[in-house]
Amino acid sequence: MIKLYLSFLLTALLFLKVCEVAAFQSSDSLTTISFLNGTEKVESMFYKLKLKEAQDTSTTNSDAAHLSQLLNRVYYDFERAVSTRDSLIHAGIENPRIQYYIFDDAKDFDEVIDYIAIIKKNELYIPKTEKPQTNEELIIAANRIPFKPFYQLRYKIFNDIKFIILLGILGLFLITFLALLFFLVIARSKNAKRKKLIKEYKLQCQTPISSLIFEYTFQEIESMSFEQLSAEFGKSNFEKALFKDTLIKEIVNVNKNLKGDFKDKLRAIYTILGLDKFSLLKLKSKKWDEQSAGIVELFEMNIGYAVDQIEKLVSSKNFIVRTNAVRAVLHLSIDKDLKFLAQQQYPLSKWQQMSIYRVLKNIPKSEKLDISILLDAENHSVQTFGIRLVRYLGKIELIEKLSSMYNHVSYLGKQEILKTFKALTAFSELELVHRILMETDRNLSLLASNLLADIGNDESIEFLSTKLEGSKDFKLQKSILTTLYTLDEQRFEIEVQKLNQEHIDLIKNHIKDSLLSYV
Amino acid sequence: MVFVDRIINKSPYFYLLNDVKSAMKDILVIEDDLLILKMVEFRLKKEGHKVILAEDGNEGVKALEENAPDLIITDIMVPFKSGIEIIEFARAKYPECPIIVLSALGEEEGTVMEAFNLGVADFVPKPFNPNELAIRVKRLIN
Repeated sequence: MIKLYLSFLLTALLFLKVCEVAAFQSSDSLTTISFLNGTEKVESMFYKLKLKEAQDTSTTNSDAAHLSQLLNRVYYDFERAVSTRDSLIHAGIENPRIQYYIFDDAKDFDEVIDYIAIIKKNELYIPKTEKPQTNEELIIAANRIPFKPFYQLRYKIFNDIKFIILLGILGLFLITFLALLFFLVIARSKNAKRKKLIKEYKLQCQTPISSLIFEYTFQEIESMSFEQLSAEFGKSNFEKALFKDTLIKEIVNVNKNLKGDFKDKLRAIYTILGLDKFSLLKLKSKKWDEQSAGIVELFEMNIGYAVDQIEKLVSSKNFIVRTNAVRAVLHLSIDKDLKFLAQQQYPLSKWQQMSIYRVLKNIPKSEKLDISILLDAENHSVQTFGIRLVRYLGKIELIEKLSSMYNHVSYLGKQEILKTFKALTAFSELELVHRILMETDRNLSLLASNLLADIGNDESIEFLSTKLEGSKDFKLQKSILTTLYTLDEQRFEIEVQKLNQEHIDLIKNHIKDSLLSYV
Repeated sequence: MVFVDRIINKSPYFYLLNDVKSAMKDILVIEDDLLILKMVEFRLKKEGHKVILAEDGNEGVKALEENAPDLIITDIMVPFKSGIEIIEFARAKYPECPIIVLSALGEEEGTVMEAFNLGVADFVPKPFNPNELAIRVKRLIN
């Protein structure tokens, strides 16, 4: 943040510099001339008259000595220098010019413009008055400058719009910086206080949890009332949301790490203390992290009656909430109805599929799990996941359904179906696989050829042979030859000879080499 | 005299005395999860053991330098020093001291295999049953 602030400050200074340059440039030649005309003397600046270098002064009619005197004279009053120059022009001298001197150095007019801009800003000049005054005292000359008291000067400073803008920007940055710093400090102190409290509450929870689960039986804990149990933790603590939240986290943590009847004891403590209601309240929160925490708590503590409320979140816009909700519903629901998953609007990511699969694979075989509902889903990702589940869970009874839906699924779904056929050695679907092999799609043909190595028959050899003849793709040729070699070694040799190509011989050597065959 | 000895040896109080003597062991527990640490302490103290607690690898090594435990229970994933480093240190200092690894890692994980190669006596996967752990401790101590 400090870096950002410094960069802003640097930008502001740059802006100031640009303004300054712009201000100087705004003084043009006309305003400079009129200023010089109205000035009796400019600090450290004087003028001299010069003639063109090539001009011969001796040829003029004027007195040479007088001319030399005029040319050597130093003028502090610009108007006098101009009138002298004009009189020289009248006298027939061609192109006399005024040479400007600043700090005794000859300068051109552009440099004079810049110098005058500085002089004007700093008021280092004596303006002209009506009465010509000579030999006046410094004090009198000073009096001729209009009196400008300090407050007027200050007013002038603030009247400068650029300066105000700059001050405004700097002020704004300063205020923003201070505000951010203030909020940062407040947030940090709040966070530190919260962490300290959590640590304190954790210590308060540890001993009662340990003593309850080790010193009491499940029946004893279950028969306890809220008053009895809460007395162990300090009854007043249950008015604080942070304490309840810490206690839930500790219970869930122990529940994750322990097994046996300790889980039942922890669940009894959780429900008797009304912490399930606290977790259920989190589901109604507008914050996704709280919703997610609530779902995880209810899932970990195996609170079956929360299914209806969690199910409302399976179509949440938030990816984490959605994933946790689906996982929790699958784990907690008794009937294991996957209808809600089939109705998902959002695509299922690989991570979601993995987490759902982890729940599904642990469902006892005795419980009915109807995956076919996922195969009918309109959501392609859900449908593809359904096909994968058929493979992962070994649902052989759904092979026929997969075959019938092949033409209507996505490209990825088609690939998954072929992989599933291979995993489940679907001999019954040979006809479909032959058809896929003969299709023009290279990837599907590859999968089909690979699959035929497991389920192929004599008819498959003919199909493979036809496909090999019409194929130019190296990978496909290699796959078909590998399958042919697996199905019929003699036919493999015949096909290699028939093709009579160098790279086919190389493939053959590769397939027949026991070391290279798996590469 | 032999008769008296036999009477004493067969007395239930003799076994009780023996049990108390064998139960009074120093057990070092290294675990970064404070609540689990407390649970194990609670359970082992119930058995009458003296439990030394360490919340991280550094504390574990320090405890090993200051005490000569009769048994060590350690997690594999602890802050500052890995469980393997702790096991190596313990093996070098107390070659006879049995070590139990308590970890959420699977038994087939490389780190756990490495621990077994270093001479770990037992492996308890998480989630675990504290009663089962207490029985394993008892078996190793006796």
